[in-house]
Amino acid sequence: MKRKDSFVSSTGRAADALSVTSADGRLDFLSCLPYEIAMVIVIYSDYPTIQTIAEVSRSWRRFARDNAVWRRLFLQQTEWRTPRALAAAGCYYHSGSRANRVQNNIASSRNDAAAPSSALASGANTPRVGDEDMYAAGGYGSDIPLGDATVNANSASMQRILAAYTGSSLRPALTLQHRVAPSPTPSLVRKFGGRLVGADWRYLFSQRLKLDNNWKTGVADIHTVAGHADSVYCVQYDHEKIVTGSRDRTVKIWDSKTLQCTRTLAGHDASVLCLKYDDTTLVTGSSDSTVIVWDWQTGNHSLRLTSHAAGVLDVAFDREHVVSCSKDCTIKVWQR
Amino acid sequence: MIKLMTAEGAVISVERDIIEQSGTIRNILSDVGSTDKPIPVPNVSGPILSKIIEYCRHHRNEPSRRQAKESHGPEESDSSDAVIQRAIEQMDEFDHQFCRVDQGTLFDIMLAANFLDIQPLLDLAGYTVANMVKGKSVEEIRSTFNIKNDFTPEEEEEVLRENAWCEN
Repeated sequence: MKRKDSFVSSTGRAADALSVTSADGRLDFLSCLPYEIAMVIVIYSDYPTIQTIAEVSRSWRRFARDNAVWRRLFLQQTEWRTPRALAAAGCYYHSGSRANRVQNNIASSRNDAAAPSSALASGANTPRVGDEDMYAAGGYGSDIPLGDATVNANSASMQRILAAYTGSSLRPALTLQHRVAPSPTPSLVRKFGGRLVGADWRYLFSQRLKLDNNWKTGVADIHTVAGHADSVYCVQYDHEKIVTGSRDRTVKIWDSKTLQCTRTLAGHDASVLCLKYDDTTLVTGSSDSTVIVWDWQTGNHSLRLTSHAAGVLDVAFDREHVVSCSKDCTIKVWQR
Repeated sequence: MIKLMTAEGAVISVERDIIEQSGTIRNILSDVGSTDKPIPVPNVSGPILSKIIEYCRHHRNEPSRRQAKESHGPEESDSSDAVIQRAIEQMDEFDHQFCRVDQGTLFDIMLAANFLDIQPLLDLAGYTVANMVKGKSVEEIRSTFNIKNDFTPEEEEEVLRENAWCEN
């Protein structure tokens, strides 16, 4: 980040500065300082200021287009720091991390399809406008530790990033405006000479901002998923599928992209009131007072838990336990 | 005491623990051991060096500043953001007073802080200039820093178009 010789290159500083200082001592900091040092000023600026900086002059505009600046602006928005965004930032977010484990224990949901982040990729209808020189200039931005992502293009985390940002995202029933154009999918990861250089943070920022605005203004397209014969009581989804439970006593699995029903699970004798799933297991609770543990692979129920005296209103599970709560005023913890 | 030779050739003495806030000087000292000879800092003028020593003297007994910066590892998520946030939090009243100088001095401080590798000072000066930019219109910024609008009308239009995505 710091280049010692940048100072040496401006040893004629006194002269340089004098020539750029107006009579009253005013001085164009960004243009006169070596790029990396000037960047210290820009990195301390907020989003509206960066937008203004872009309009000041040619050399100021260059700073307002630096990827490192937008990376910071993006990550400053704490609510935008989804696992995927952090992964793109090379932040070593592991799903096995402690915080996340705790969460899993509570929610028993391994689904990391946080809605905001999946919608991140669905925010693009315009081809990306980008100045290639903002990376070509390299300089500061390339020193920012997008690090691992840059080097290990084949790593698992990189695959995750690519999956997250190449439009292979959920296309939910309720899709916010600016849906992904069928093709080409926007590449959010730039390539130079075949090398991945990391996410385009200004683009990500703009898309995320659009999405936020859509949420605020309620701009959305509505897609209806029809198929259940009666009320739908519960839902969970990920990038591949949407899983719903209904008063029609069935559980249906829908393809997230086509919204077509791919499977119907029958087994409960009354309404399916609640459900949770992870990679291997689906657990449902029903008005028939039972809990069914389903095997994802076969679609058969591997276990039926039958000691509640009334409808099962919610379920949760992890590797060791299934927990159910019921209209019969009890909570039951089942060892798996 | 460590002797430093300024751009003008003047020698300034300073306590070792004070000037060791400069990574550059710290490295030189660890390379050459203790020396009576003045260490040349040919890029820093006397007045600016005095300013910088004043800054280092104030922050003399705050080793946490340096450690805070050096101890953050790559495993720290959102490293740059956290580091920058912490840098702002660490600035005190002295720091803000310290930066109430003319633009030329601030400019020289940034160059010297970079050359001497005193990150908190570089951050402080950068933050100060950023605050001079913040909240101003384009025209006010140009006038504050004596900048000529060198955009062609086409470029200007392009920049405005590029910026428009925030206003939908």
